[in-house]
Amino acid sequence: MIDLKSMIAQIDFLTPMPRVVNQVMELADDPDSSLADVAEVIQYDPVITANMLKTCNSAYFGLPRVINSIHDATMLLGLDQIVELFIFRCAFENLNQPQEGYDLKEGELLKQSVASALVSKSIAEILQPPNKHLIFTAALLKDIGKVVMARYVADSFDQIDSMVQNQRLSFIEAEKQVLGLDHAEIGGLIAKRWGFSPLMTDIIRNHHLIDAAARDDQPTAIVYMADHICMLLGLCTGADGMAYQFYDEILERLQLTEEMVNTVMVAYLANRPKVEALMNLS
Amino acid sequence: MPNVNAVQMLISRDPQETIVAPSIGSGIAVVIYDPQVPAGGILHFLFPDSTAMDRENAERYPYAYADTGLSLFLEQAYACGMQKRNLRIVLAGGAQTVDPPTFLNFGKRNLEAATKILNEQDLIITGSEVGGHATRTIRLKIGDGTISLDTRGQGARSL
Repeated sequence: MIDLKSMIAQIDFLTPMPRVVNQVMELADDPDSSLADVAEVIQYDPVITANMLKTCNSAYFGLPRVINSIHDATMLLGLDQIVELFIFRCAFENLNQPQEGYDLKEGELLKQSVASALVSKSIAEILQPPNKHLIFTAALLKDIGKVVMARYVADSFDQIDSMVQNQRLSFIEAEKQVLGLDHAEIGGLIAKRWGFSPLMTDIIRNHHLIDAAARDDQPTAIVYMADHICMLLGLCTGADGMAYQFYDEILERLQLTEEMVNTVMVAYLANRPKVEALMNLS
Repeated sequence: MPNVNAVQMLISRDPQETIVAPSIGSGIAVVIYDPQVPAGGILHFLFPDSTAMDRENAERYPYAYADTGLSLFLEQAYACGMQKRNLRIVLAGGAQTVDPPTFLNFGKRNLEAATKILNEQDLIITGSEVGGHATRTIRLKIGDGTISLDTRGQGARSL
């Protein structure tokens, strides 16, 4: 069995999230806050501000003039795009790295994460939950635990894969049996260490819905559904593939029909060139 | 190396060309090849049946569905000079989750739909690599008809 203390200690080697993340998330989902409030908080982080301005001024956004401040950017792009760009830049360093154990090359985990976030956004547009920015962010960060787990999975891949193939276990169940923790649990510990809200931490920890109690939580179920739709689209291209459980009851709980799922999948495909462009400019 | 992404298709008569369909999940890549021309192509569809879906989506993305996609794909293959009696047909994809759901089990349903449509047209599937949990990438060399398949976590092999 792996030394869990040493595995958990690896969390300290991740690029830390900017301190302003929680404030931005709370403001973004607060109907009483303004665009200016969000800009005000973001601009206190100089690294994120510089990276966001660089992305805003790229051909991807095609804005009519050079943007020199987060205030100007929020005016031109609006709240949703600013929050999404902010979270993307925050997650970039950690998610862009290759993850050997999951057979993910440089940029692949980031791309999957962006796809998952966009699909969760499409589902949220149908279901209209009150905390759509939280859901977008949780979908983007749900696999952050893989960044820590990757080297341990690499060392034990044959054992994990054998359990998936021969014992009909999901990849995450096999991870837990072989390594003592799974990538969602480590993700929850990372979220806690970074000071994320309990709601966000719970979504990341439960995003595969192994704990049946989490299936009643709408944001967690949306993130789970987004992950599953990305698998159907072939976007989760790692060695774990589609070796996860799908719970039929989630469709009923979210009141999603097959036609709605189809619409969400097609909406992602329509956005695919934009995702590619975003990856390329990074 | 031209890519055929999900809900796209490509047909080529360029012997220097290799067509690639990456990231095949529960969708199916239908690879066809006529050595007499030589010419070949790949269709990567995602859903079994356009008639069960939103009409606007079905019209906008005909290659997303087994029925409309295969019909258009074969029509264009014949227009390009390929002949039914010469066709080699290989299917790849149709991945599923563990204990597949009764609903949304596109992997299984896509495979059933493709097999049924091809059988109805008296087309014989000469090879396949379907099911399981893994994402796949398939390549077709137009020059000699070589088909290679890369399954994530399991490496590459010829079909």
